Amino acid sequence: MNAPSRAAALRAVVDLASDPLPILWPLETAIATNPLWDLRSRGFAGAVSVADRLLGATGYPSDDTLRLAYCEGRITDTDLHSALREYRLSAREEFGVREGPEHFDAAVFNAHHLDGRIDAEVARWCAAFLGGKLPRSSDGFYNAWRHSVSTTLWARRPKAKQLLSRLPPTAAEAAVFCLTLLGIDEHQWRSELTAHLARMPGWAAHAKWRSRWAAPGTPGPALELVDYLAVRLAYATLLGSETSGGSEASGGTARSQTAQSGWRENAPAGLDTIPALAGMDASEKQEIWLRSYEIHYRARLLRALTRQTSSPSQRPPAAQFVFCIDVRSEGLRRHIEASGDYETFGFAGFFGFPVRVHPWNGGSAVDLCPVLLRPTLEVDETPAGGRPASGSALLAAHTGFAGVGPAIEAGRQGEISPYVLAEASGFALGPVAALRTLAPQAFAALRSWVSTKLAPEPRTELNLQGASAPSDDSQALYAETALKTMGLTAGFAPVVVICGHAATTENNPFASALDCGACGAVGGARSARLAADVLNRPRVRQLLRERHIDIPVGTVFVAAEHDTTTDRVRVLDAGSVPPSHARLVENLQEAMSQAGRRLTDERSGDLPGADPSGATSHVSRRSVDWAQLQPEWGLARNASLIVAPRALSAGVDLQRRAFLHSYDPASDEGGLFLETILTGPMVVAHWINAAYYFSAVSPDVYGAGDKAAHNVVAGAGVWQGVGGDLRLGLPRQAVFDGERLYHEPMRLLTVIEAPPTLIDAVIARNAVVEQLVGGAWVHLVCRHEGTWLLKAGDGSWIDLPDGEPPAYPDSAGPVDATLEGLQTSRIGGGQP
Amino acid sequence: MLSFEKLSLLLSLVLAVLPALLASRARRLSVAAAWLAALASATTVVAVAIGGTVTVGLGGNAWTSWVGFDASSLTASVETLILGVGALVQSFSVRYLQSDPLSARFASRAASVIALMAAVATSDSLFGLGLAWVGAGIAFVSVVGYRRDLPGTRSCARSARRSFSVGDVCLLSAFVIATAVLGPIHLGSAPALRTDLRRLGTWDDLISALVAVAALSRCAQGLFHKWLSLSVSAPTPACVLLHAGVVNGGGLLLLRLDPLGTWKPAMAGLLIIAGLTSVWSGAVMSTQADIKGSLASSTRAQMGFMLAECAVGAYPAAIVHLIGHAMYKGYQFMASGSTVSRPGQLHPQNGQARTRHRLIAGAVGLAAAGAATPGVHSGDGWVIVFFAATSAVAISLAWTSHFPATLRSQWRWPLGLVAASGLYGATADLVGRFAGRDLVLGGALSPWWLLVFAAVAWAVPRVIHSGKFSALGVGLIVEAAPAVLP
Repeated sequence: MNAPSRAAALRAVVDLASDPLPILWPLETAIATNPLWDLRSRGFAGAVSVADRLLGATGYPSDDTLRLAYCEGRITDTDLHSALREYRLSAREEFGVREGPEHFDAAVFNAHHLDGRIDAEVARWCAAFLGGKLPRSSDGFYNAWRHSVSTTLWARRPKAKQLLSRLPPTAAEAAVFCLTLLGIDEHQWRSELTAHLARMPGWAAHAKWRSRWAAPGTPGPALELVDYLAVRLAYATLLGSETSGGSEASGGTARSQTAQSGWRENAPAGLDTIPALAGMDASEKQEIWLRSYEIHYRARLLRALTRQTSSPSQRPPAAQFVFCIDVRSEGLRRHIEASGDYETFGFAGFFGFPVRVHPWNGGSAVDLCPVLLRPTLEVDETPAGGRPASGSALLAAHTGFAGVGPAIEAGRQGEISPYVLAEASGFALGPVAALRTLAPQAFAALRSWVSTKLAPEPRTELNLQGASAPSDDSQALYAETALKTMGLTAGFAPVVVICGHAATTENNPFASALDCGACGAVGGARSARLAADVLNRPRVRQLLRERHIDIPVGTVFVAAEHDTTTDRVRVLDAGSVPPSHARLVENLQEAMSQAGRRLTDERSGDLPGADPSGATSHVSRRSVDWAQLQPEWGLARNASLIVAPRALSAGVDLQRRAFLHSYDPASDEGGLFLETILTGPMVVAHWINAAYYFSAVSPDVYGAGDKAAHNVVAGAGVWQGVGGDLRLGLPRQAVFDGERLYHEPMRLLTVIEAPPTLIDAVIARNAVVEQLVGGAWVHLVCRHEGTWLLKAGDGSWIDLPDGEPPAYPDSAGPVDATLEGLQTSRIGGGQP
Repeated sequence: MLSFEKLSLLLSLVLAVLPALLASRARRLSVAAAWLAALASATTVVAVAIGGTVTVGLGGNAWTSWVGFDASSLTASVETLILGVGALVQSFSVRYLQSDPLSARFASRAASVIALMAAVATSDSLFGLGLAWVGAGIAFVSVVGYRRDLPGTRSCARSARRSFSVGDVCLLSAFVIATAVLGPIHLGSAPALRTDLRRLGTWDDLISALVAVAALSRCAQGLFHKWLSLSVSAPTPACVLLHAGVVNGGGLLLLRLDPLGTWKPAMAGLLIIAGLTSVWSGAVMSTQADIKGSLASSTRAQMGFMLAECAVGAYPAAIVHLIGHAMYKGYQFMASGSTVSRPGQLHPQNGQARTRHRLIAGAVGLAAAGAATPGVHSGDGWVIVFFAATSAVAISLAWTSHFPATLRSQWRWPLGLVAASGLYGATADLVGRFAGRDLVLGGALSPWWLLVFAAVAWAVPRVIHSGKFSALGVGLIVEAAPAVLP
């Protein structure tokens, strides 16, 4: 085969080879993902076992976690019985699960035999490249490296010199060239490349994001998979030729050492004493224990939902609220509903408008939609009332202000300038450091006062009319889809509040992980404003009326934002509410603030170091404290997604653990809206759920480590310490409370109110949904005509009377007897 | 009868020890004690400014005189810095290390470092200083290593232990030799000490060389560079603590032993090693993309500059740098989580610098130099004004070339820069003249050597990036950055 076609063949293999690797978004929009997403077709157990062998990542909660859960009654014997029964159903046959060709054994073997020096060299070149420190970075990583590496001492050795001079000009050709020199045949390429990627999953995950997920034209140096692999292979060739014969893995990473330990059979000692589990292999036992843990939660949730009797009031509500499906909205909704005649809805926080917003001051464009979508609308943000003469003065003030940081950075990076710059600014920064540490709120107030003086934020509006705006028809179309999907098509209250959410945190590299995931890890205020503005436009309402959605003239949509760190809720654009509704909106603002305060009281019990007596002032301080590594719990403990009318869950305390998506099966005969929900919001919820799950069960591989020692690398990720691999997933502080796991690692439980036949039809139409449900990535429970049905692993529906699993027929009591041994070794102080 | 100055000095030292004992039992109390210690030390500064230098000794007996403390304008100022940064670290880490089960261990070890460095800053006897110096080094190694589970901390502790022990052996040998020749040495009485030191004769060169090695090891210069790069593996508060007298301890040592600083070959060696380390670290920093790594390289460069200032006898400038840089870098480390940009953030275009921009920047530089001048009293002052002017030029050039010409110019920013330069000049004058008032200037190399340093610092990166010299280049520097796998 000739060179170009071999290069093309290599490019095809690279994508396949990266399948078992996670995906890592840059910190600016730290999207929570399922690290095993591209292994989903193998099912949960299959994917986890591949990751175990390849990356040394455990896929199940640890023995200690489970033992503690059992001792505290978090897993009961009944749960174990049910888990066994359900597991046997799924063990027969898992629908939606396909095993791919096995090339992983070779990859695992190869990964252990690669030279550790390759990692050390490649890691620092990757970092320098992403930081924009290398010349010719626009030619791609491989060429930038090739250009600069020639001056290293390394490259002065004759063999290296010779190889470097023979390297072809493109990354793919170079990879083929090196693979040929290494003597690796084409049919071994995939496992060899997987092995190289698995050595440093963090860098590979970044390259995978860049090559397979980033929007074209995403700014910043592009570290592509092919380039990354070409450089790795070049080092492998160099080192191979130097230490020919007896080339042993040297300087292996800590993680590859864990990988080697994962290589052994990993039996959870002490948890396998139940006779019913005898003869099962370790991963089957772990699966059953995990299922018991999940079933316990499920049983309690379904029981609570069954018992709830509060029926929605028949009177028209005084106001309606649309919140994001985020689990943190659940608490606020509950408190708002309790405070008056209010109806609330849940919908993905981009409110159905996948939009790219261009900020008024020329800041970088913001994409507001889940990363599974690409923005299809573009909207300009302008200072209110167009661009007046003062607009340019304002713009100049903002540009001047924004230039200060980079200018000081330029001084810091200069040749002679850093010396006096450091000592001079030290005399100012020393007292500032004391202020920020001792009085964070005073500092925050001072900073906002200064920035308002120097560069005041104008009132802005989103430009929805004119040539550059999306057409009226498309606006109406997105609005129609959103309203119909959430089931809000009639009975509009005088005020409908559309409430996005964002988190206020300080000095936090993972700040975006606490923002709205459905807006692409960005604050949700812009999305809320856009939705409210569109729905307030007479032209859009006219078009909606043609589509049988009649929004009364007396209805006003109002945007709001929920700050999840402080639980402050504020109405945006209160000034543009018509006078007729101003009073009502004021009352709503008061009701939302009240609800927020109650939610804060509720939350403060769990916040480490919180002062429950003054919860409201504590959280305000916490949100601006630069020494705070745990500003809020984020989405920790998320466990379920409820797709149903609010009537199903109203009045139930779901403990901020449920994503709530409004859905009305009565108006969805073809299942089209359900399909939208299961392919969009459910996948987003699953990603978040899986990110928390894996960061909790395998913090060394899928977690980002201790925030106290984080070292931000070029905004792409963090190092733990001085170098090496980028860390994946969520920091330790997001899932652990001290040494104890705070998050409860469980797979997402999706509860849908719809006929099972409709759900089956949607599953059959969508491979991704089939893979998630069939592969046990997501558990599915259906509510239909007063009964609960569970989707079993073989595709059938099992009846769950009152949400409780039926008793396991052949379980007279051996479980109780054999588990005594466990109780003696209990950890912590829970009661058995 | 204890005078007020003596009382506040002793109080600050006693209070500084408390957190080391209390941290594991009464955290709030120990934080309060740390701040009170800093306050007592600041009070001492004021008292010394009014009343003059005092020495607290424990009687006149030959043995008890090993323990004694000395409050002069220099020692009290540096002690205030150390205790202030120490208190800040304590307060910061209460919340920052909230989820760390070993945080009490960190707090008490950090407090030990602070207390021992305060003793280094104020000890009257040479021997006491030496013991506290060694103790502070050991305590710092234990702080770095308190979280053995974090990747890299163990190799950092190992590397620091190795570097420090070389320096410690040198320093203690120097002190033993000096004491053997001269008998117990008291640093508090500088004029008498200077007379004494003349009696050292041929030992003089050896002693100053040994002291220089000790300073280089604590400041991570030359071959001792590695431990500082690795120290970013430790939690952030440990990196802040580093700047409370540990990494800048070398400067403190030379300032306290200023009678050694007369012209000697050792000082020339110090100037060359520190200067080259500084230039090289600046180049390494320019290729580092990780925030903490670049801060650590920057610290090494800054410490090189400070030691160079000491070597040429520019003591007031060195004191100002020691204090100012410690606060600056402590802040930078604490704020190291704030470097990720937010979506929608305004990133000014990196424009090409045009003649117009250069003219504006030049004017700003001149004005800044003028604003900083009123405080100049000596040759080193002029050198510092030159450095200040280059900083102002670099900042304003970057700022103006970011600024599109279509927008109305914003004069307040350049004016602010000039005003800041004036403030800096006044502060540097105040601090330098006050803290350096007991030090004897001159006699060493001329401060104008710092301009040679500046010329080298300016030229080296140009040579590296020019591509004309195939032996040098970005690759060489990338290769020099630490690469340690977790």
